[in-house]
Formats: sequence, structure tokens, C-alpha cells
Amino acid sequence: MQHAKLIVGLVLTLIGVSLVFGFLPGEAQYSQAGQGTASREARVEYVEKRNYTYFLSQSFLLRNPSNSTVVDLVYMWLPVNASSQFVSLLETSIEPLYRKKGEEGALILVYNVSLPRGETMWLNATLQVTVEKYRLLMENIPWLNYSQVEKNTGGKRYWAVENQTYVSIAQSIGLNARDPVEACSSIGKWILARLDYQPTWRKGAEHALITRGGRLIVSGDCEEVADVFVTLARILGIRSRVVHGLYLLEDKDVVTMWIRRTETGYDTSDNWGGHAWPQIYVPKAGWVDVELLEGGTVKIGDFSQYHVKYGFEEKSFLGSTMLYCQAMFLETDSFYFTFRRVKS
Amino acid sequence: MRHAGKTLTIIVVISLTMASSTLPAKPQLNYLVGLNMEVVFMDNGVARVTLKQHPFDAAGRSLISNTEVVERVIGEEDSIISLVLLFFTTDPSKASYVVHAHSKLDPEEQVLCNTGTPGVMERFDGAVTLTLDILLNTTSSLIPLGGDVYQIVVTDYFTLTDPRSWLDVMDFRFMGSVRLLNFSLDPSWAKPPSVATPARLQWLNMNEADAPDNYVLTLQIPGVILSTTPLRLRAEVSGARFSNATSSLQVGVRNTGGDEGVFTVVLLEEGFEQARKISLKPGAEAWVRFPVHAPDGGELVVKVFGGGEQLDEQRLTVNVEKSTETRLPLLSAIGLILMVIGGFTILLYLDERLKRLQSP
Repeated sequence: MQHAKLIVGLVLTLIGVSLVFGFLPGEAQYSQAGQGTASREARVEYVEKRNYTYFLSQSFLLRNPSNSTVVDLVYMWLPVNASSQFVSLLETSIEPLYRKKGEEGALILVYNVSLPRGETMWLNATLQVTVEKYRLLMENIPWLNYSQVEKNTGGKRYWAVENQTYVSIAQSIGLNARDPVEACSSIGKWILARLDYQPTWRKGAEHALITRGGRLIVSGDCEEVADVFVTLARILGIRSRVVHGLYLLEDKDVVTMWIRRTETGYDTSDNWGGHAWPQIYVPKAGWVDVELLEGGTVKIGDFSQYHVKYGFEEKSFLGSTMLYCQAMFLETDSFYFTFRRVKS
Repeated sequence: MRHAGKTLTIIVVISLTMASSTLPAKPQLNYLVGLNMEVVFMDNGVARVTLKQHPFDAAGRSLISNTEVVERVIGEEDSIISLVLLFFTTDPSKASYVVHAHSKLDPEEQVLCNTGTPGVMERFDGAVTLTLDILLNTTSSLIPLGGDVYQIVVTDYFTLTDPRSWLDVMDFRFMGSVRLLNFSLDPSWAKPPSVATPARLQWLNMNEADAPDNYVLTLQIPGVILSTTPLRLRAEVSGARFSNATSSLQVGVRNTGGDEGVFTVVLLEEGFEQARKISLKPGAEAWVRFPVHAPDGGELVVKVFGGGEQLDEQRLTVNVEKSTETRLPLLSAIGLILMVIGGFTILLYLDERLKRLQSP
């Protein structure tokens, strides 16, 4: 009985010590608001990656509008071999004179075509296009290095990086961003919150931002969305560019979309999917697609199989001249694209 | 309008939108433009560029007497100047030039142009002419090779960016003390010049395939002053905060100079160099964040650049912040109480035992 006090005292002391030292923050837990220490490893991983293959037939109706026979060079753009897209030419209706690489890697077939006055002809090419649907996990991505920022984040005709309105918007959105992916996510949300989607001729970032009711609005279509995104990203020192291509609006085994010249302009099929979207260059990952017009959310490195890339616009000051099929003297009256999905 | 030429073509934009069904076309004046360019390299690094334009229709008929078309060509002077500058620089906004003679119709001039007939260069009377003096030292085309020797890369911007367009005639002339030392073409298989003398190089390009993308000239040009941007920007690292909760570093930068400018904040850590751009008005301060990859105790270097010059540098060590807001949880408080009670109980036991030992 005499030792009972000693035992009780020791037990209470031991319990007390374990409670105190077990629940006081230790050296390893520099917690702030219970977050714990963040990982520091730069990490890029595919969460999802799957290939979708299409047979693509692209056909263009050429017309000689003049009163004499015209011998002309006709330029046909092909989808590009690029990150997350693999293209092979299967056949073409006539043998091209040569193949040409455009300024930013676009692949162009050049045909020598002779057409008597007033006549028309179809020019066709069939390709196999494999699009990689992917979803990336990106953590602790570093910003670009100094020389890349200096070299690759300047302004161009459509990207008004010196416009003070854009500068102040970019800095308010992105200066506090921890990494470039977080900054781009904030840019995307900012654009979507102000987007008034209006099909229009390309007007560039400078004219895409308007004030309505005392509020800034991003007015335009996919090109304006891309141009505003690229402008804001470049102001923050993020290398960014625009991709031009097609988007499959229908999830079907066979999709045909077209444009036809009319007397007043162009008619397009209801499912016409001419599209433009931004990409950002992410160290350790390369070019990563950004989509703001698919599902109403900001998708960075979450790329669907419905995109087909025809060309990039990064360095050319005046922007892309991708036109699918054009000649100097002959007119292109119709553009047809048929995608046949290959079952995997 | 299709303002093309054996030359430039304004893009007929095919709706790149996702949802439009019908888009109106802009009213079009369908014409093409024959383009001849003459570049005279003069002492002190001035290039006098004369662009001669001749509009014609798809059938190859001259439109020089069509007032509407000619006025349209003349009215596009600003965009034509930008295009001409792009032959010499990647950023026209930074190039210095003087318009020596504004766009005007000159009936005495002639333009050579291929109008669609293979192998035939037609000669058109009359041209809309525009002459600029470009200071090459403000362009990206001038590359010093040592002494007064320079490499000058003139890019046919039309053929480079629009495969359907090209210059029909490119005519280089070397005046005064300027000497042609060498030249080459890119791509190498492009057509060689029709005229090649010490005082002149001239290319007649029948089609886009013939036309070089780049004309690379090695010239001796006395008197070129390579201007350097005066260092006017001033900035300093005004602070740095490391957050272990997010493994990020916030760096404060203050513009301490009298000019507004774009600054680049660079963070160096082992294995990574990161940079962020920031625009600051005089006296303004802003903070930027970087993810930190270095381990605790790792060395960091922060630099600030502006106008191509380093303006400040600070060295830091990754120090883990210990939270100052740690609160004693309830269980810890209970533990303390139990420790006190336990200790008191042990003291009581020891006291009783001592008394018992001392008692007889």
C-alpha cells in the first residue's frame, strides 16, 4: 500500500509525458494551418494516356476563275507530327511536286496544278492521324530560366504583352502564383469568368478585351480566348503559343465537316470545328495543351482525343497563315474533312 | 481583299471558330501584287529599302490604272512598312527607320513579276513605291563578325510565313565604302542570283520554290555604331520570405530607378534556374513566388535583371520557419496536469518514506 503512491505517481507522470511530447508540434512538422510541409520534388506524370486513331480524308475543290488556263502551285496543309499527335500520309490524288516545312513546323504538300479556264478539280489526301488523349499530373513545376524568358515571351501582332491593361491584369492574377501551372490555371479562370463567346474574325488580344457595364469582357471566339491567354501568360514569363487545327464536335465513328465558298462568304457545316487553343511550355513536360472551351473548365494537360493539330504559332510576328488548302491564282471553293475512327 | 503578289497574301480566314455556321466575308477586292525590293547598303549601317508594288488581277492584267486598287495599295503603307521591317528584324517595334519617300504612284517605274505563266517574268509599267532608311544597328539582322565586318541576314518574310508568297525581285546594291565579301542562301538549294557583281546581287524569283527564305550577306561596313541600351533601370531585392508550408520563396523587388520597366527576377538553386517577369513603376514594389526545390539549408541566389543588365544579387539559405502559432492542444494540457499530479504523488511518497526512515 505504501508503494501504491509511487506507482500511481510514476504512471501519471509517464502518461503526462507521453501526452505532452506526443501532441506538441515537433521539429519535423512545420505546420501552418495544418498543411504540413509541401513536397519539393518537381513532378510530371501521366495519369491517363490513350491513343485514338482516325483515317482522315481531306478534299478541296479548286476552281480556275480566270479566262485562261492557269498553271499554279497549290499548297495543302497536313496535320502535324507533334507531341501527342502522330501523322502519316497514306495517299494523295495527284503526286505532289514537293513537301515543304512551314516556318513553325507545319507540313505542306505543294502541287503543280494546271486548270483550263472556268474548270474545277478535287484535290484529295488521305492520312492516318493518331491523337493521344492524356491527362498530366504536374507538381512543383519550375518557372522558365532567364534566357528562355527573354527569348520566348515577347509580344507579337496578336499578343499585346506591352499593353498596360493586360500587364496589370496579368500581375494581379499571377504574381503570387507558386508555379507556372497555377498561374495558367488562374489566367484560364479569369478568362472564363469574363468570356462573351462571339464568332468573329481574328482580332487579337488588343481588341478582344472590352469594357461593358464597367466590367472587362473577353469578347470573341476560340482565337481570342487563345490570344488573351497567350498574352497574359507571356507577360508572366510563361512560354506560350497558339495551336491551329480542327476539333471534332461529334463523338461518332464517322464525322464529316466542311466549308463552302458562297457569293457572300463561307457556309460551314453545323459541326464545323475549326479551332485554336493555347499551349504552354512546361519544363520537364514540354508543350502542354490548354483548353478553356471544352466542358466550361480550365484544362491544363487534360487533352481530349477530339483535337487535331495543323500548325503552331509562336515565333511568327504576324501569326499563322495556315489555310488548309490555298493557291495563288486558283480559288479553293470547298473544304471537306472526313474522320473515320479506327476501332482499337 | 486578296492582296497577294507573287508576294504577300492577306489571309482569307476560314472560320477557326467552334460553333459558327455562317460567317460574313469582308468585301474583297481580288488582286495580287507584284513586289520588287531594292536594298542599298550605305556607309554607317543604313539600308535604304525601296519597295515597288504593282497590282494585277488573276488573269495577269495590270490594275495600275484602277484608282480604287492603287489607293488601297497606297493606303496600306503602315502595314507594308511593318512587313518591310520584318525582312530585317524579328521585332519591328524596336527597329529605327525613317520614311525617305512615302507611298506614291510612280508611272516611270517598272515591276517584274510572274503572273502565273511558268518561267515568264512580265514587265509592268508603273509602280507604287515606298522608300525607307533602316538603321541596321537597331535590327536583329546585323551580326558583328569582328572589326567592321558584319553578317546581315535578310529574311524574305513573305515566303517564310506564307508559302504562297514571295518577292519577285530582290536587288541588293552596295554603295560608298560598303564591300560585299561573301553571300549564301537559305535554303541552300534556292536559286542563285541572276546578277552577281561586287556592287550588286539580284535575284529574279519565278515562284515560291525558287525564292530564298534568307539572304545571308557578309559585308564590310565602315562606321557602324553598335548602340547599347543605356542602363537606366534600377531595382533591388527588397525582401525574401520562405514558406515551408508551401515550399515556396517569395521575393520582393523594388524599382529604385526613375523609369518604369520590366524586370526579371531569377532564382538559382541547385539543379534549377527559374525566372519571373515583373513590370514596375518607379518606386513600386511587388512580390513574386517560386517553388523551392532545394533541401533545408540549401543555398539560394536571387538576382534581378533589367534592360539586359544585372541590377542586384542576394544570397539566401533555405531556413525552415518554426511556427509561432503553435497552441497547446487539450491533450497536451491534460498531460502536463497529469505530470504535475504524478510528480506531486511521487514527492508525497518520498516525503512519507523519508519521515518513516527518520522516525525511531
